[in-house]
Amino acid sequence: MSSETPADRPTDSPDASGGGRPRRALQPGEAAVVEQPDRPPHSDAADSNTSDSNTSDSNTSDSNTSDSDAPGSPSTPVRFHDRLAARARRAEVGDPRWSWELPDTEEPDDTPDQTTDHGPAQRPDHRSYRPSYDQSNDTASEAAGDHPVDDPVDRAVHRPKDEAAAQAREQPDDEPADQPSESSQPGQLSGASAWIAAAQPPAGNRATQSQTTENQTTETQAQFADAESEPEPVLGPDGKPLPMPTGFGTPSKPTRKPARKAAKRRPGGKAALGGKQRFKLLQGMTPRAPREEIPDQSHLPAQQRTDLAVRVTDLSVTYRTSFEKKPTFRQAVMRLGRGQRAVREIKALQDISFEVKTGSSVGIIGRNGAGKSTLMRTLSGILPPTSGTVEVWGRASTLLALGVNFNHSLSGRENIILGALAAGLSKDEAVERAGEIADWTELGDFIDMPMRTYSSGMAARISFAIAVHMEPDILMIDEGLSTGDAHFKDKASAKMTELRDKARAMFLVSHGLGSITELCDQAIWIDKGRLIARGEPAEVVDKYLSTLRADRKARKASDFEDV
Amino acid sequence: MAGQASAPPEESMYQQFTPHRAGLPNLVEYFKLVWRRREFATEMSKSRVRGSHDNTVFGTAWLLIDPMLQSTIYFVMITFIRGHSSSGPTPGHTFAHLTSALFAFRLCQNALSTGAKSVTGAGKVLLNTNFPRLLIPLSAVRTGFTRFLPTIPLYLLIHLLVGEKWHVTMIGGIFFLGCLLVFGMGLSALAATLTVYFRDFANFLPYIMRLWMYLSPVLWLPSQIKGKPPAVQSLMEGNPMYTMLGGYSQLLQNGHVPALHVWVTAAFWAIASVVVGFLFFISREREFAVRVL
Repeated sequence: MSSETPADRPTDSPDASGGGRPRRALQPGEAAVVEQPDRPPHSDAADSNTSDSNTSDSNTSDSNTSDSDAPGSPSTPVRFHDRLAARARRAEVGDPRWSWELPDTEEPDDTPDQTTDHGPAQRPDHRSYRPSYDQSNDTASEAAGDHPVDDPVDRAVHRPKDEAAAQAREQPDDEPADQPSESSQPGQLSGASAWIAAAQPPAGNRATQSQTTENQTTETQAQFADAESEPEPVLGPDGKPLPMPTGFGTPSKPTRKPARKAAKRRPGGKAALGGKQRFKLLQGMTPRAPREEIPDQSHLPAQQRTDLAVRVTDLSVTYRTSFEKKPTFRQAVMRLGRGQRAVREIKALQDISFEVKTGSSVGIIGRNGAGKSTLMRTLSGILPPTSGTVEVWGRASTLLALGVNFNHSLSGRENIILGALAAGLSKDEAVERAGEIADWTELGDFIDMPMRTYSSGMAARISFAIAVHMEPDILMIDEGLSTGDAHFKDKASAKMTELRDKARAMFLVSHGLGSITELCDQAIWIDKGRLIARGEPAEVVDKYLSTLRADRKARKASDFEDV
Repeated sequence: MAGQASAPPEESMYQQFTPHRAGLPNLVEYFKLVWRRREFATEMSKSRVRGSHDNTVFGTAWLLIDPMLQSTIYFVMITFIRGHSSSGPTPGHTFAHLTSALFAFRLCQNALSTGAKSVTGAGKVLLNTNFPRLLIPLSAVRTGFTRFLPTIPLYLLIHLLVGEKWHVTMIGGIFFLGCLLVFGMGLSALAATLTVYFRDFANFLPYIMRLWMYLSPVLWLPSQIKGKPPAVQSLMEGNPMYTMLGGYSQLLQNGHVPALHVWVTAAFWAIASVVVGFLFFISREREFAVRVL
């Protein structure tokens, strides 16, 4: 404990009260309130529970006072919880440095068995309020040190599930009995830990406890509100509902983000993700039912094969582009005078090979500028390869970037016809479908008015409608497509699902890794134009995240909100 | 599950994208595609015409009034300001020549100026749709030609008004008109490509075109440069417009069939322009997707 800062130290001093509240000089009146006569002496607790690494209980002394304090210091420092969490993870069983004082328990002598029971059982408790994604700052630093690179990711990706299972094994109904006496005291931190421990249901569901206490805060509600569980109150050993601890629920910075993250995690992990983190266009989409696999037809000529949708062989794409957004002759002459050149060569893709079978859904992940969009454009024939070949069995979609806007003086309907012609339809087909597409946009009378009178959302509808009505065989969806208001988004989403079911293959480029793992049956990870990994989405996403975490010391955890 | 049933026939949909040799795709395939998508270029051109209301009565009227006003200004310039020599052609003849040559020159000028901005103005279609980009400048040429068409009857009327007669040999003018059109296609492709690399190229274009017009037999007759220094003569005759416009106006006005070398040279310039312009455009076409937006 000597290495800890006073803010970290779980003492009963007024400074540390409130579970991470700012250190400030308390008014005499406040301190008087904090000092409760019936609270167990801190030293006793420390003596009696030296070998427990229970992280939730470690907060006991903090929240002892938190209930009596007015909750909600808005300026609570972030690092308290961070450090607390990091220490809790690093804590090893039996390490006295990390043993935290349990409050006055009725089972003062923790046997080694009990201790080992506590460890795994309690760790998820802590994570339940602080999801693993947020620990990436800590885990990244660990990865750079003693831990192998994969460790943080393993923890980040698998732990919640594993730990839920461990908890299911090790913390059945009788587990909260460890803290019976504290639970009878509302607001004491042992109550908090017990509450959370109990609130972690065996199957990963968490009970919503929001009704059980009056002084809970909105953050805590948000933390568990979306957790999809039975709203039964968590019962203490005496059969009474456990009060919800306010120590955790103080409206402070450290709890805010974890609460949001926790709310996003739903039972079933990747199978059911919160709406916000899903790619907005794909919100209504569910994984496609597996299709019947077509047997290998490699003996057939390429033109007659039906088992493949896309085959890429040693594909490289290199192009030269200008530094300037709009290069001009004037600038070129001026540069020439200075002997400068504003052209650089970009190796967008290098030696990429893969096959996509008919019926596959392929997710493409990678950082910005990795070459994802270039790959999509190469597959659709917009960018010819510099070397290698691309074979595509079918017509690719135009959903890579929305927008036709040929002529703003023309009506939406005429632009639809133009868009359809650009996509390869004949004039008759285009005219025939224009009516259908125009109806689908639901623009009413606006469809025959000049597009310059449209709002941006209405123009987006036109673009999207053209793109989805071209019946692509190879559906390519790039992220960030804007499709207008909520109603139309639903409609667009339904249409995308329909297209996906019809298409021979789907490619999804997204930074929403949840969407990738959920909707795709294989994933490709591209980095700096090279194919790094290909395979099961979960595995590829794991590898991707592990690499990201290993070298993202300078990056923020918020970058991974989509994970 | 809709699945396989909805998949289109595989044979027709197989596409293979291979590297371009020397930056050029398989030209036969490319022009097949261009032909297959010609309706797109046509519709794009029509939409441009509709968008600028050229197809309305007043729009069409403006297509006639504008070149007439321009012709009048130049006519005043070359007859009253420069002075009309008594040994030269009559004012009526001069006006007929001026209008015929100027209208034809405007065909090229229109194609070039519309074509120059066509690719950079195409927007996201370049990013999301796979089609031969050459269709874009070609549609601009079509637009230019559409705007030129009303001036043909106008010229025929002027031809009568100045006391000339219609000749059968005037039909030969169609050849030179065709040469001008093809020449304009090549120039349009070239200008469109240059504009991608130098966005201010379109700003220079009016100056280039005006200078070119003064060097072309629009404000003067081909016969008027005889007696000039040989260097000036060769410079004038080296101008592609010299043969194309010269042969065209000669056929329209006088019904004189030009010498064979005029026909051949005009055809050569047209083909040369198309070959150079198209190949340059096609070889740079793949960069448009990464350079334009």
